[in-house]
Amino acid sequence: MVGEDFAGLLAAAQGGSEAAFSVLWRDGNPALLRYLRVIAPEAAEDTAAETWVQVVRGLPRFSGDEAAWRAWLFTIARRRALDQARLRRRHPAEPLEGIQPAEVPRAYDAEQQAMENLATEAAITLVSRLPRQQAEVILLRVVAGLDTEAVAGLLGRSPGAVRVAAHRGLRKLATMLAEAGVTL
Amino acid sequence: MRRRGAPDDDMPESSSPAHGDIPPDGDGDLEVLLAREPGEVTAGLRPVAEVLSALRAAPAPGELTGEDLAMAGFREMAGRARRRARAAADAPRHTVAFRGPRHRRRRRSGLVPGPRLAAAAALAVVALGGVAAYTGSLPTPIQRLAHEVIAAPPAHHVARHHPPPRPLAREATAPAPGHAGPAAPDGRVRHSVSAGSSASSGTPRSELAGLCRALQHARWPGQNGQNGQPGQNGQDRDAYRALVKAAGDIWRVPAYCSALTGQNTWPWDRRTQQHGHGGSGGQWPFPGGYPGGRGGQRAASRS
Repeated sequence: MVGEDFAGLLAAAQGGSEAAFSVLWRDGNPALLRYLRVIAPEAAEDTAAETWVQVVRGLPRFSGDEAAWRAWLFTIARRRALDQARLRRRHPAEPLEGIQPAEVPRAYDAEQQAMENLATEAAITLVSRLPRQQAEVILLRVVAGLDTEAVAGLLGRSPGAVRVAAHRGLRKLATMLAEAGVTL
Repeated sequence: MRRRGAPDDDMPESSSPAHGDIPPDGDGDLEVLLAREPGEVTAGLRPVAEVLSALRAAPAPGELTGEDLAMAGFREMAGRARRRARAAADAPRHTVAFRGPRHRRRRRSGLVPGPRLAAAAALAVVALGGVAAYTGSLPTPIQRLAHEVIAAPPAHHVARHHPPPRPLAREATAPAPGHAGPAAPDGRVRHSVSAGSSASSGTPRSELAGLCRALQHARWPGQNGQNGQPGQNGQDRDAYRALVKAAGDIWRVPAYCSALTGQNTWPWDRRTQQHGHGGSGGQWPFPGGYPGGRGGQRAASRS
């Protein structure tokens, strides 16, 4: 998160400052990629790039605080990911078509990998094994840093539904880790 | 996700508070995990806390690739925005210059106006003529002519409040062809008085010249104690209307008459002396007709 400097950075970026936009990009892109690797694992980088194209186009008109900025960023990313998914369904190009996104990242043993180094990639892999909506809610809360209301608005669900999905996902994660024998 | 056509299998069926808004007991710990700065959690949730912590970890180098692409897009957008801003900044300047006083001055000083501008200028002259007639900017006989023939109220009466007389605007229409040429570089309309009768009024030139001389040598009440005004009877009125028509409009009568008679000396009423036209007589300061506009008024004041 950028923090207190966000308003100044945004204004500078809207005024054409490359340095300011670079800070916003460096703050947002890693989180964006982590989110997209779960909800659009086949085209995370492409979708992130398209997201930034959209962001750049809309940047002069954007107004809001950092929370609104991140909500906007992830809303665009999500829409681009859905568009990509629809496009892929209409024009299948790979034999992996029928596989659900949550099932795609297959490490040799995701739980074990998470236990061994708890690296970010492993954590993403682990979360991606959750049901899609639970994974998405957890990522939007944790990676994007959005609160329940913002996630609810982004997903078009009630805050209660979002909260329940998050809790279910966390419990499932705990179960997965416990089944893998991970204890701390 | 039903509204967006995405899978919805892992969301609660109902989003009403009765079913889904109240997390079960023990979910406080889960909320702590989701907080931006997670606090202490129970031992059973510590592995989950570690996973979430890894999700929040600092960016890996691979997650910062692609910045060049984004920056290129940003540069393009910023360049486009700058170009748009420049174009937007330029566009109003053109518009303002076209309508603004600077533009009009420039046009007067160097360019021949197009038909539309000439028509607009003629209308402005007519309108300003109506106003100036009240303020005594015309030679006295012409002013009287305006009042008597074209039914404009007396200057001292109208100067108080009344709007410009509409009959003046109707009578004093655009210059007739052959009598008012295009505006000169200084914006004034030059008259070319042809021999014979006026094409527009049908009145013989000699008769028009006679009317002009009558105006130029007129003596009005208050000036040498002589009486007599143009247009006192219906016949006169028609003749002077023909003169106005031949000149183009009331403002062009002095210039037209000066060209016709070779004289440019006009009696000025005392009430007009504040305009600097002299006492009982003086030169009509605008040889080609009243120029109209503020510049013309200033010229009148200076002369």
